[in-house]
Parts: sequence; structure tokens; C-alpha cells
Amino acid sequence: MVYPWIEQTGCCELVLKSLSSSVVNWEQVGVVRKAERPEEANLLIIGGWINPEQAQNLKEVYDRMLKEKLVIAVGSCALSAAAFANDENCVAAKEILPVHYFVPGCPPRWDDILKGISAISKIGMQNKTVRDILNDSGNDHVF
Amino acid sequence: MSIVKRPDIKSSWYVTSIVKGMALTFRNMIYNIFHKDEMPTVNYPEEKYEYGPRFKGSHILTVKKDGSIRCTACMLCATNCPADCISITAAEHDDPEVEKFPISYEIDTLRCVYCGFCEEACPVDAVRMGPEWQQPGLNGSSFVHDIQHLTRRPNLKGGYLSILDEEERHNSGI
Repeated sequence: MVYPWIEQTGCCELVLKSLSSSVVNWEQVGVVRKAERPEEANLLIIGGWINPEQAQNLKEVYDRMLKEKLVIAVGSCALSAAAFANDENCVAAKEILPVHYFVPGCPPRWDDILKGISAISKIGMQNKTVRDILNDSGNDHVF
Repeated sequence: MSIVKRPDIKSSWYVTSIVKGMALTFRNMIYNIFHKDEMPTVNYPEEKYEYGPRFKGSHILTVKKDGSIRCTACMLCATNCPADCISITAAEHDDPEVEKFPISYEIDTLRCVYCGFCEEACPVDAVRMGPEWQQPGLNGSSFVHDIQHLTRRPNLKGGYLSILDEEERHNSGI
């Protein structure tokens, strides 16, 4: 059970946006629903390149998330700043945050991203109900 | 002075258009029940989407007919790579006619952008982009592939044969 918060840039944005359409059923891979604020999320999906400015935003989002913080990096730019490794303006995700799952590709296929979400949803929140997650977040008025 | 005509009862009566729309949806539904192969949607975890044979996925190092690696360690692919993901170490060969061979050939798939420039740069058809896609994995699993994985992983069924043989290459003057 995960509540994803998606940070997307570049061409991975197109793949992630096509994923968030109604064609794909996210509940099949363990997503209860998408978080509307970072405070409700326990999964952070990073897709595309990361600026130094955006890296600071990502750290703020990561601090605001729920206790069991899971991170998926999508695409070569987020994984290791592939073609822009010598450029100072592109930062790899594993240099700022602890990343749990890597989805390689430029951009990756949609089924690989779904495979990552389903694998990480088995790690996080194993013995917790939806009510427990809401109590952790301190927001009872969410639903 | 213009007179505005009110619509007839026929056009303002919505039941006919509702019946038309429902007829379209039911026609499509019944068609899809009897033609399940033509449906474009995929139920992901149960069904897998199959990519075509010309799909450019993870790398393959081709082999000669006797089973050794085709690569000659010329470093053209490593030079042409925009992400610097290929690292080759060359070694001296026992045979005096052969100049050198790669003792280690590693591809970091976390850095690779799957552009296909290594395949284009290779003069001896040693690197190819295979039809299967790179597998995602948890942090800590191996993303740096060595020669053993690139030539003889189980999907390849004992090596992918190169088009050019050594004699054919010398005869054609490449």
C-alpha cells in the first residue's frame, strides 16, 4: 500500500503522465490513491533531470513525507545524470536522497515503472491498514 | 426583424439520442467480447506487452563461430558513448596475428541512455542492441554487466552469432 507523490521533468514526464491517465489501473500494483500533498505520501517517484534548485525542493518534499519514506528513481537522468554527468546543473537522485528502486531507460517503458511500484509496495506498509497510515500523518479529515 | 424558430419536439426529445449512443456502446462491447485479440488495452500484471524483434533494448556482445568474443577492443564504442557508460580493458592475445582482445567489458546500465551509438560505431558488428528490455531492480542489485552476462545470459541461448566472420572480413577488406 503506497501513496505516491510524483516529481516529473523532461521526457520522463510524458511517460509518467501517460501512466497517470485512466488507462492504467494503479490499484492493481498496490497504490491506494495518489497523494494530493507531500504530507500524505509515503512514496516519492522522481522522473527526469534534477536541477540544483529542484534538488532543494526534493529535499523539502522528502522531509514532509510520511515516516516510511520510499523513493523510486525513473530514467537515466535521475539515476546517475547520465549524459549530463559533467554538467554542474544536473544532479543524480542518489546523491541527494536514499533511492530504493532504480528503473533504467531513457525514457523507461511504462510496464517497468509499474513493476517498480508493485515491488516497492510489498516492502512498505506490510502490516498497516489505511487507518494506521492516516493516524501517522495526523490528518483525519483526508478521506 | 428576425424570427427565432424553436426546435421541434423531435430534436428536443433526448430519448432518441440516448438510444443511439447506447446502441454504439453495446455494439462495441459485443464486438470486443468476440474479438478479444484486437483489443488495445493490456491488463498489466497478468498479461505482458510484447515488443517487436527490432526493438533496441539491452546490449549483446556477439560471438564468433568458435565461441570466442567478436570484440577487438578498439575502444570506438567507449569513445562514442555520450554517457561514458562503457569501460573496456584490453589485453594481449596469445595468437600473434590477433592484436588484442577485451579482458573486461562492462556496461553501466544506470548511466546508459540506449541511444544506439555504440552499435553504430562498431566496425566489426560486435555490439548490438537486443530485443529484450533492461530489467529494473532494487538498490543493491547488479546494474553493471560484465562479459559473462552480455554474451551468455540465459535469454540469448548460448551466444548471438556475428554476421562477419574473420576470413570474410579480410576478404572484403573491412
